[in-house]
Amino acid sequence: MTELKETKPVIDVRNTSKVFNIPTPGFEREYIAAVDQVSLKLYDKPAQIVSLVGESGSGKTTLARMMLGLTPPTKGEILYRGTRIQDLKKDAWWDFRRNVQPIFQDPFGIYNPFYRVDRALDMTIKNFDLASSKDEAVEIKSEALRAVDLRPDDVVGRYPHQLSGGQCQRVMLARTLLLQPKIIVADEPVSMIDVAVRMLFLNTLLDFRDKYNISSLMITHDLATAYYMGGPMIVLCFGRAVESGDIVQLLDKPSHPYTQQLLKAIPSPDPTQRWETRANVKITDRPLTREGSKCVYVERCPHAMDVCRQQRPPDFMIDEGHYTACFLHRDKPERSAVGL
Amino acid sequence: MLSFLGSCWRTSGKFKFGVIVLAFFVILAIVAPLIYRPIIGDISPARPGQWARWMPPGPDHPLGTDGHGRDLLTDYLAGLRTTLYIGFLAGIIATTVGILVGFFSAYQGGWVDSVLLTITNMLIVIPTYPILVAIAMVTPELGVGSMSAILAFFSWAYSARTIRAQVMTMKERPYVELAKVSGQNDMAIIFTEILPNLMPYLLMGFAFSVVGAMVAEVGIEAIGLGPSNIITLGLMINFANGWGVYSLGRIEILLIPVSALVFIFMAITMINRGMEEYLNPRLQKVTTEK
Amino acid sequence: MMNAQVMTRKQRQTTDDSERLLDISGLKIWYRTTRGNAQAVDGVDLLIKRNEIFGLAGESGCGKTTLARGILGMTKLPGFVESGEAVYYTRVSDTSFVGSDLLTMPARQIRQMRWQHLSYIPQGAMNVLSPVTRIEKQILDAMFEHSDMSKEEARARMYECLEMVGLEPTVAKMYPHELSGGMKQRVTIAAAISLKPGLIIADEPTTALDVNVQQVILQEMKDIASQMGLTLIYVTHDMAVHAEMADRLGIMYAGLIVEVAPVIETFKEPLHPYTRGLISSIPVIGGDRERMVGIPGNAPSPLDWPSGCRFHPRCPKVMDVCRGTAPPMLEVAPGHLVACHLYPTPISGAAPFAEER
Repeated sequence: MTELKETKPVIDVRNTSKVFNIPTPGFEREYIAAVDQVSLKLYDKPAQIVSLVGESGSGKTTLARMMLGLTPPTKGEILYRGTRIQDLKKDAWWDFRRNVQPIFQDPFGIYNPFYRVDRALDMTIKNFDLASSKDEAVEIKSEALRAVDLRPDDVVGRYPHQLSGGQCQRVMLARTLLLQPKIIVADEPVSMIDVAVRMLFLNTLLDFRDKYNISSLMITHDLATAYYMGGPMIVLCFGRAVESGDIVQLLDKPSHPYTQQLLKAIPSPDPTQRWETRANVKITDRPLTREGSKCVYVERCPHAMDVCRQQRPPDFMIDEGHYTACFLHRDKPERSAVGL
Repeated sequence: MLSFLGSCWRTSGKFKFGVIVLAFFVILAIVAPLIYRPIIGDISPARPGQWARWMPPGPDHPLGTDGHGRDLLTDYLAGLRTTLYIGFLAGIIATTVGILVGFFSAYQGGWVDSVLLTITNMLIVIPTYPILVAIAMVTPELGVGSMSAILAFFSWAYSARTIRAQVMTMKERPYVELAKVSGQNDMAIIFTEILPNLMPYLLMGFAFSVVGAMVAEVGIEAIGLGPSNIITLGLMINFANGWGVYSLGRIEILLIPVSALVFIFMAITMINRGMEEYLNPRLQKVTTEK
Repeated sequence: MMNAQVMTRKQRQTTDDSERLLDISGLKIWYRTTRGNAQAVDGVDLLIKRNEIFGLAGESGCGKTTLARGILGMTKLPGFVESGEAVYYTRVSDTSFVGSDLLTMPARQIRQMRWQHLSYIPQGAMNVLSPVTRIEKQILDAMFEHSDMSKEEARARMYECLEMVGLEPTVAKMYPHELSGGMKQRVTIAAAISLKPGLIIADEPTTALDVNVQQVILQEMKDIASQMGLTLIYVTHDMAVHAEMADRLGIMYAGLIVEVAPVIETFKEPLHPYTRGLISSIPVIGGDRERMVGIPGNAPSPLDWPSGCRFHPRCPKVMDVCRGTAPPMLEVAPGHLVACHLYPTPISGAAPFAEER
């Protein structure tokens, strides 16, 4: 990433790992690195949309939860404006809470079925002191709903099951808008809503960036969605960042075998261009990795070499801002720090 | 909560049945004094020797009198009242303790959870009935309150376990996470996010505790180890056996308390099953398309 | 509506018997609710041909799952079939077929049909596997319930099916929780093909799965369909998946079919504005990145469908006639049917007058 190196990142993920113990019978401990030495930086000036692409088991949700302060990293650190999230106290903590907000995947699950949907907005207004009177609260609620293209009458007082998935997700956006955070961490925000409605949501995130200077981390398994958002992208595979760079460049010339495989597996919406090659049938589960010992993709990689089984590949720089963690490119210069 | 109960009523036949039967007994217990006061006057229902023994049913005593010279109808009504009272009281105590322990344990996690869970599990595994019998044997006459407390002590563990399990799953729900990032503190989350969704389970736990307590009470009384100065249905069963009602040709003296208990247990169980049916669609009568 | 019936009858007459597998006409499946009837499927006419992969597309709430289950006679209270028929043609000999209405069949007969002729892979099928039973027992049990195979025959067939979906024989002895999502889904597919059905209806079989696993499963399903000569009705909202899989595509909106066409035509020349909206909502990799619009507005409620053409509140090309009159389904190009006032003239000048009915 080129521009503005002097600006400090709002969120700075440094070599962060999250390791879980797997309960196994006997005394042998198995552990799994859900997130494995990932680094990334999120800036607010200028506002940007960063895509984090990964499939299930890639660790994307765990990473998101760490960035939101919902769970601490096992190794490495995540800084909010220079301070570790765990070390934030009182006012600084509230500042963090306000400025780093999530959008979750399940548009219905995000609401407590016992209450009406606008309670989510009320709770936010109350806890962050966004309004000084009841009337003002109603006013800013309606404003936020209208800003995301919802009619307050359609939504206020309804229960989640009375709204569509798209509407529920947009109410979440309205809630986020109330706080005007610096960073939105959106974990698969559109995968559970209809295709026709996805565009509206994605366009709103783009508007947030352009109109309100809100940056987003867009976590998705769908490369096409990430492409639509543009900007920098990181590909996560089994907990490790395997490729990163500007999305247009990257998808034009994907250099990591995993990215290439991902691109090939996407069904193309052109019936004259169907898949030509057969997929590898023997897709197994995620391998249990001990951190750092070998390349995480080695079991499935068609180009696996000996060195891949012995060492963890460092980042090699393909182009300005474009990095790959793959020994196929070991002739290129290495980068000392891992990640974006 | 009311809408939940209303939905159970509409969905489940079992629930309807259970509620109606239980309501009958509860109402009967509540109005009991109105029924027996006219018959026995101002004395305590348990006072023996007031009238002749073994009188057959007649205008003064609709069901006759028992072997101790007490009016039988009064015996049953007073007994029903006490038994239900013990059951509900024990149920309330047990459920309250169970809720506190369950919530606290699940939400705190860590070693607190491990310790509490071990205690809970121990209580579930210990065979409570023999212990109750032992306690009953060594203590002198127990009052209704102490009896309820003792019974409650042995039944809170089940509620605690159920609630803990539920809270553990709910802890991870997206809306709990949303509450966290919206600045709700832990207490608020427990009371406003999790508790309302647990109502059905709390009710079921309560129902189980009530039944458990009543069964235990009957068990002790029926073998004669309970206090004999307060009348309960269990005590009536004990007396009925002792009097040898079969040979006396007054077998209904035994049958009445037994069937009352059977119906009450059945009703509460039906209520529980009915709630389960509503909550768990898989239990409803659906055949899988295979 | 009269015109729609006329059209499909005509269609029926021009297709010869050996091509027809499933003939659905006037199908209405409603749900009783406290606020009236939810008209989830509200007059569907569809002809499914033998050996084709027919894609059923549409968004959530359009009724496609109700339709899929309804065809197989699996509608349960509070759902009920208000009217219509779904005639399934079984082959009796090389040249003759017998058609029977699945919706009026007695329960016993439909049970016999299931799995042997009709197979269904429901949404979230992998979650339907019983967690306490081994895979082999679940597959074999289903096979025994619906056929007279001997133990050895059934077992052999089971291993055959597992192989066809790319699973190792060792999987048979495992429990569902030991398998990944993709593997569980492949198990349900193996079970569905075990009795060599003529028709499989699959409802969103790959929605919860990773893109790689999805590719594997889609390719396998296509292979199996052509190897076994079976017909597949594939239900999903994902148009890109239809582009890969389907021979013909049916678009469903608000309880009705609005367009049916061969897949290439659907994507190259979508006629119905809704179809156009759907296709243009698919983000594509490569090329210019410009803002896409999607389809504005919200999906209507089955309790209160809009008058006239149900898409009119959201249609960019709405005309006055659309608000009042429902457009009939007309064949406006060979094999291409659409229900839209923008295309009022059918080919072959079939005048909309009543035929014997």
